[in-house]
Amino acid sequence: MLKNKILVLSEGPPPLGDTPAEGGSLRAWGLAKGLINHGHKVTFAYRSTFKIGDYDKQEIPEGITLTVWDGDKIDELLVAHTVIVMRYAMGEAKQIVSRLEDHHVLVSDNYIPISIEVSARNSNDEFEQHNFLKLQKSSEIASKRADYILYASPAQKNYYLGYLSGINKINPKTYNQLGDRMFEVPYGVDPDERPKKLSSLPNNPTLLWYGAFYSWFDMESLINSVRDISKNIPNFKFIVAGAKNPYNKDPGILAHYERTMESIKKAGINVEYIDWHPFKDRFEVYEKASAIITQNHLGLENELAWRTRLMDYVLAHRPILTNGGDPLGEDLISRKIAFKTTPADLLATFKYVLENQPDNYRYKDAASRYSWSNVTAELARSLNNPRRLDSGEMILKRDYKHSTKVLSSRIMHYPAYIKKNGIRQTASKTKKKLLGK
Amino acid sequence: MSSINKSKKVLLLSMNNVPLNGDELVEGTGLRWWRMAHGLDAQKSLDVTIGVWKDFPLIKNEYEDIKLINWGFGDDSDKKLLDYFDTVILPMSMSGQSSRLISYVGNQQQLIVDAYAPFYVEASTRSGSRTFDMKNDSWYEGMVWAGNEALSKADYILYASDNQKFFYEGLLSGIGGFSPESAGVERFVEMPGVVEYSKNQFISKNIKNRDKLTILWFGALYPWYDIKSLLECFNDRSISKRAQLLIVGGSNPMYKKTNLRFNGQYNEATEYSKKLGIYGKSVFFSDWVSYSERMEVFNKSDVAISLNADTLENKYSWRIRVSDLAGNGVPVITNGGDPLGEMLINKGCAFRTGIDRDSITRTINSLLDNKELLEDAKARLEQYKDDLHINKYAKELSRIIIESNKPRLERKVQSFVLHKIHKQAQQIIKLSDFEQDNKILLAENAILKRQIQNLPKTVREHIKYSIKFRIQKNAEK
Repeated sequence: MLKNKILVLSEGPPPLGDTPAEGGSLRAWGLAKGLINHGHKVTFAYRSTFKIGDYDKQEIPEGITLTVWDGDKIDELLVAHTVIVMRYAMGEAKQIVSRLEDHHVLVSDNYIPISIEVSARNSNDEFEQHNFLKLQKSSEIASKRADYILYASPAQKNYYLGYLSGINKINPKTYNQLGDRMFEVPYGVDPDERPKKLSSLPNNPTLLWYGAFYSWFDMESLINSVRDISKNIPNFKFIVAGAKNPYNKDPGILAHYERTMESIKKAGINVEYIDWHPFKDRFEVYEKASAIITQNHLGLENELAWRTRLMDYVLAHRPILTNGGDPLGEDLISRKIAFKTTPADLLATFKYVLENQPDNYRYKDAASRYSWSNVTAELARSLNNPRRLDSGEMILKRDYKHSTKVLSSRIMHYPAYIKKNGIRQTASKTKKKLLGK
Repeated sequence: MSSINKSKKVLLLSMNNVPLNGDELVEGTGLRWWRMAHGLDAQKSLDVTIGVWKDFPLIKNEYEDIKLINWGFGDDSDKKLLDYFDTVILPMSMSGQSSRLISYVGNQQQLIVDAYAPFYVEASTRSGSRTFDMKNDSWYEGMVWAGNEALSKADYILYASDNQKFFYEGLLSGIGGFSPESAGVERFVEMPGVVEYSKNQFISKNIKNRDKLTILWFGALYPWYDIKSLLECFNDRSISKRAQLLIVGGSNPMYKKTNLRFNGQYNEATEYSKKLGIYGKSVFFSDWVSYSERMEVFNKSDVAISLNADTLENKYSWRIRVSDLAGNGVPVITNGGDPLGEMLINKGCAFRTGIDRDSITRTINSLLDNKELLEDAKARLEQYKDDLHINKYAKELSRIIIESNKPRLERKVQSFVLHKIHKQAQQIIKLSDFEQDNKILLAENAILKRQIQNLPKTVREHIKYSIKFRIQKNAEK
């Protein structure tokens, strides 16, 4: 029987050995690693349908117990743990919440504003519509049950306070408790994952795009700018790594990928492609770059997003080029390890960073600020003494009690109405109202 | 009346009174609408009417170019009233009235909902910061229902600050008012609570040689303010011999004295002042004043003070009283944390203080020792006064009204139902593209009539109109 207090539920597998991993599971793994740094014992459970590649047992940090979950095993896991950490829009969130007992403390990981992200996929596919509605429901159920809520940035805090007000999680009963229940836990980094020595900059000026071509990246503008660079900088190389996420089957995202590949082809840019690869191999790719680029579609999604890929680029010790607008991008710009650029001035910015590489201490400071250990510190302290939120949901349903209150308040108005309109008209109006209902 | 041809008719509906004569006691939406009506009217292309709740009988039906009318005389009467207008502007939550009024706004009309007062957190603060009052459950519940409905159905939402915008985006996500189809449709219009140009200007006085400064607390002592430490400062001789505190309208007369949610802190403040022995000596309480009288109060004051309680509400609030003071040239001392307070502090128009007694004492002493700081702040307020003026924001709102956009109709509520119907229609007509979109839409309509009979009437109506709207748009193309 597992004796840990905290269960971190992940959809995908942890990034062990050659196992490819993606955002959600990397996040869950990061949270687990952060929490054990503060003395907690954590069970990390991933969906049993995933297989982990070969890995060395030493890769699992002390304090983390690895296991799998599925419909059969979930009850056993829940019985053995008090605190459940789970992404609020996880496919099975609804089912898992329904199995929680009163004593279970739920930490709802809301670091992606799911309604906004799904909407930003710009898909009209029927599947996407159903997906959206399903995610809406599961995220609402998880948030309503949550005892602690994690978000990634101050902008997200504003967003979630509105969200929680809308679903009636914030109300006069819970209002004074929520200050201690919402934690800013951005997607972090593990500074120890960085190889002790990375090779110096490549001889040829090389720009790297690292990560999937998601719909919220403005690939069209970027492709045009890269074409300009390739014409103006001798021996320029453009590397695209992991452009297609093998786990993601969202039609909007797949369509965006296809469109982008088509545009690159049409632009005639010479590109070196590197497939999606195990997480641990990413530094070999980072090493090939003089700078790493990203280009956001500006707007609501960007303002609320936490660009996880930017976070990891910090460990690469390579300057980042971005048009910003997202909270992390803007922070890295202020730390002078990212450089704000637009498609129009990308060539000039790239030339500048080739000559002016940031000092290494700046990368180290950022990595320290966003280390998993640091970003989970406050949450870990609270989980030393995990408590249920006192009141849970308020009422927000038109129950009998409410109806009688409304009725009694209306009856109070009758004498004045009769005085003004007479008994006959009052009776007629009452009859009309009752029949109407 | 102006002879200019006004293109659109706009109705602003209020449950409160408006300062038509200037001698009325006004608050809340009445004041807000009065200012917005001035701003919209100044754009010269809108026919603006304020609807005032029937309990406040109007003594005249026009003020300059703005029309006024009473409402609330029953369903038929109110529906007819709303039918006349192209655009209806409602506060986010009018409790029992909201749902009824929203149902009267037809598909051809534009619905704008004003959300500048963050009701959701404000209402919680009222109860949360003092004793929790179970009696208000139903009231809160009703207001939340009304707010959720109004926000999800609005074509446009008026907000006061960036914090609020993110807050409402999140709220819409939570209540299903945000969907893949509405992504990219901007429904938010910035409209903070700011002032109209006043006929009675604040008269700035030379205070360099004054022995005693008058510090003004203007407005009710709602639970999202915190005055206790300020009172304690006036128990300190270093302050009381050189300054006096004037608390005007600390109790809102629109609420009973026994209403502790609104007037509880006022009762405590008067008691505490008496206990400290400063009541009527260095701290003076006076009643809520009429709209025109407030300028006289401003003129009696050298600087104002507004101290926000450390609650969640502060971050989402827009302090109307502070914008009224600053917009009329009165510098303010504040602990900030609210968007307007922070903006004024950053522009050098307000003085930051802490909320504790020592910080407030230090800040007041610093101003007493350096009165030129107040003069500098007044000069900067003059420089930035347009930022606190309604005309700056009314331009954008006016444009939206004139263009008559109705984003709510472009969002397809129950979109998944529509999508399935669309696929069936495509199969019937055997077309694979949208070149003959109208034919498909007509086929959809036929299927729709059969399929949606079991859906609620409002949803049926919405879906039907959505299809009609698309047909109309296609025809325009």
